[in-house]
Amino acid sequence: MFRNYVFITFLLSHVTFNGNNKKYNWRNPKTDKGIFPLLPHYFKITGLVTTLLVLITILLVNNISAPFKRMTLINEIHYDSNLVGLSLVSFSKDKHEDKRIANLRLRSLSFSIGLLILLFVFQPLLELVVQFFFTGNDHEDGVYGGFYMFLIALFSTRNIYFCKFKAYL
Amino acid sequence: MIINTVHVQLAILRMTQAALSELIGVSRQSINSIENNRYVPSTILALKIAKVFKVPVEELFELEEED
Repeated sequence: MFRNYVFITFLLSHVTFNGNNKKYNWRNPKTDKGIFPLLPHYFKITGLVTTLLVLITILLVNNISAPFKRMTLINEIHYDSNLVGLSLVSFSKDKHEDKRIANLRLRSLSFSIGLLILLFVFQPLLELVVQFFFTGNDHEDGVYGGFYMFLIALFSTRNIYFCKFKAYL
Repeated sequence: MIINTVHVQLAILRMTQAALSELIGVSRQSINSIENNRYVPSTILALKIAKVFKVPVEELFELEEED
């Protein structure tokens, strides 16, 4: 469970480590690759599409087709591919990379780490709540349902935080 | 935060935020955030904006009284 949280927080926080030396300067986006280079802008669309597709397939597999429910391997694969889609969104560039967006990434990282700690501390309580909402027979089902619930919640909060800066355009 | 007169200077030159952002080499959202006092620009950016408007930086950005 903790592994999941670590994954989510680091995927959703748009982190770049911009080296501030003469050779790689943030002022010149063409030469600036940073320590951790970001993907091109169009990967945002690709990531969103894959995430949506995977979410739909997971919902279909979990709710409609009962025989698939037994096969935990399929669920695992879907779960991992969702992480890939989200990471594509998270680690792709904005249209114009500048210091403001770097600042935003840093702040969202601090936000997500705070949330990570909260989730880790209140994990037993959360699992109880999740089992209440997702009335699966397995314990595992409830946990995964909750995982997706919080994944969506985290993703939306990140975007709200991001859109606050784009609201007055 | 700091008080700024970027919107006044833009109006004087009849310039859009997009045009200014292209001249400086930042995103349009950055200029908008600076105008609405949501983001304090770095010294480099402030100097660049002042250079475009051909005014001293003190005319563009002022400290608030509590600072």
